[in-house]
Amino acid sequence: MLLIKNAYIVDPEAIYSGFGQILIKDGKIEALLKPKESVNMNLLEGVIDASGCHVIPSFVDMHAHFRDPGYEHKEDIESGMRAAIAGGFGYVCTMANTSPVNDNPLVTQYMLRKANNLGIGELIPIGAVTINQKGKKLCDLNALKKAGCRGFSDDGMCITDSLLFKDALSYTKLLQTPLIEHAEDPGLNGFRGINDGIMAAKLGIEGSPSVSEASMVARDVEILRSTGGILHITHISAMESLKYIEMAKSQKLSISADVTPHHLLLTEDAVDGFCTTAKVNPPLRTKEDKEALLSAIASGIIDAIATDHAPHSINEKQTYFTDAPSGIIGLESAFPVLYTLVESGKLSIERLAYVLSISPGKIVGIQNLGLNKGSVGSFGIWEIDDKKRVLESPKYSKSSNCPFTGWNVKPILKKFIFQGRLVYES
Amino acid sequence: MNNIPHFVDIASINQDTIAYLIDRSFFFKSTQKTHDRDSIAKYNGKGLILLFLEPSTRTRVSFRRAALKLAFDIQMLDPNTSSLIKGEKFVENFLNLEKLGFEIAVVRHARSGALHFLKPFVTISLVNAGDGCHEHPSQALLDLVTIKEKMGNLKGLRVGIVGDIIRSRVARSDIQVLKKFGSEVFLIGPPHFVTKAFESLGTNVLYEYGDILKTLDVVIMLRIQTERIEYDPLLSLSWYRENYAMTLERFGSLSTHAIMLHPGPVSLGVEMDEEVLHEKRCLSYEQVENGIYARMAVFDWIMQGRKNKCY
Repeated sequence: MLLIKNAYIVDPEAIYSGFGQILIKDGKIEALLKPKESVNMNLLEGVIDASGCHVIPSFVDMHAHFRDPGYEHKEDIESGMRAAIAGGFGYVCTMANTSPVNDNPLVTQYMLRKANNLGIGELIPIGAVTINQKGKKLCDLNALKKAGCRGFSDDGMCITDSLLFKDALSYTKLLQTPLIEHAEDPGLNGFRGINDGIMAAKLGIEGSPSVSEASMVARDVEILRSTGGILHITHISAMESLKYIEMAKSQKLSISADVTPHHLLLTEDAVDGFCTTAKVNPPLRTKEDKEALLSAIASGIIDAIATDHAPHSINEKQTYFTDAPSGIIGLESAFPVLYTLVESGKLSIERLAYVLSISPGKIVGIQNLGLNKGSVGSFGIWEIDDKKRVLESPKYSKSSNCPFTGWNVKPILKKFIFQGRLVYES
Repeated sequence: MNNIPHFVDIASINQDTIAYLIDRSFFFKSTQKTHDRDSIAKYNGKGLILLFLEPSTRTRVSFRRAALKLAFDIQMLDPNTSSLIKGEKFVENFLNLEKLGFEIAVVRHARSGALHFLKPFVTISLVNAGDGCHEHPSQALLDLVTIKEKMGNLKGLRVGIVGDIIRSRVARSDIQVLKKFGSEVFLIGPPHFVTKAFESLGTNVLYEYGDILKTLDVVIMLRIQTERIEYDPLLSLSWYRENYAMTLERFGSLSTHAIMLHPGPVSLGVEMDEEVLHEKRCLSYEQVENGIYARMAVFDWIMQGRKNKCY
């Protein structure tokens, strides 16, 4: 048995947050003990003193790109998983835009095998919706699910063919697996990666307007209403999209949504001077969008925070703004930078932990993540005191396209426990 | 490499520097008038390269004339016969140009922000001769010189910019430079050519002339950048002309002191009538002339900034 003592336990479901001890046996939480409660030391295999630390359930990233197979110079499954646990994410959903695309069980099995051999966390493959993500013909979604996929998405290639989208959605009901939608009407876009706002006007680049996302969310909601199914809208960026999600939820449709740390914390101003590090799709938008997204996370219109960890090499990002690929990495920086929202009183730590762990876990079928008796013993031990530290460039990811490097942040991950085993120590 | 003088955008150049450049432009113009040319031919043998990766006639010739008047050793690179085109070799080729002894590179590029991308890597001074739809700062400088020459003061001037704003690097530089000097800027065109987002740059966006023309001191007409339009949203050119062109009639409704500029080339009969081009208060030929002095001022300012420094 393993004992975590002197911990400040954060319960995302806000039943009890406070000081206590956690006893772990066979990879599960055996008991939550009061601070001074005595434990039979003879039974313990190890003790971790978590003085000055918060214990927070493992995060679940619903949206990441590990580039493996195919683009391992940007990231591979090992570097991606190591970056994940260094950021407190024991569970990571990886998108299908690898090479070859994860549109058949062989690719799914390859990903799972490689991740399982590492044994430091759980990779959750997201299968493609259409073959080669071309938006023409549905994959064998059933076979992908059997191979281990827990969601389907063409991600960056929004399914613009409404009939195909409708058909895909109807299978999600049968397979009880969500369709994860990157909502964007490419016909309304100029260049991707920059909002069609003040910076587009200043820098001379036709950008991507909010209506490109919101109009597709509206379409998706109407098709969901007529077909049924399980729909998840990923990386919401525009405030106009929120009213459709709110409406769908009020009508009890099976819909959920996530937002990224960068859309909660940055605005389009970050691309000023043609900064390719902040070039991301959907683009960073206005202060009003950012604040509306934050309110939606607090109120529950948005269910989860997902990183959209999208590694690109320095060479790829170091080019003309219009030529550089879109994407920001976020696994290692997500919690430290999001904690600034707790510091400023905009989110409670319980709510932040909930939208990073329990809530996305429910959407992709990871249960029992809370810090309760019988839960899986996966959690991070975060040192959070009054000291601020400069956020360093990501250590474990192969890429460094993170606009948060250099921020002053408080949390630092001291240890990460995955299913009862210590898998990371700073 | 932060202290190397570059002239890549209006956004990063302060008002004092621009005021200095305007004064120097007038100085260079005066030396031409007084035949005092020898006194300014002072950069003998300093290397200056012109690199135009997009078609250009008047801007390229103007930069070359300006460089000649300052006695630079000028090299023009033809992108069609040179290996220096674009892509991943772009930076490396500029490092070669430095080793070949060039101190200034005048660059026109199809990509917005191409020179911003280069700046951190090079010690050669960059002069932006137009990057995509982003900026054309020397055009803004010569526009300002032309306006100041006629109007005296820039503060409080009401300036209208008409046409394809969204694809215009001239408009972006003009807007920023005019705002720096306290002018009020009105952008006029159909919604396909100017979006409300431009209001966040401190301008007023109008989709029709209404009564604005008679209140303006300066009107800058722009051509439709057909080469940058993939999908043409206009109903027809006659519709555009009917609503936005500077016809003789509209020109007549301008205040008598108002002046008109056009960065060229003019699409006669589209955004402007031929008769208007030959009106005295249409200063497009003065702009061409002032362009040489404005560019001389830019080269001179850069060389002063590089003086006694080893890169």
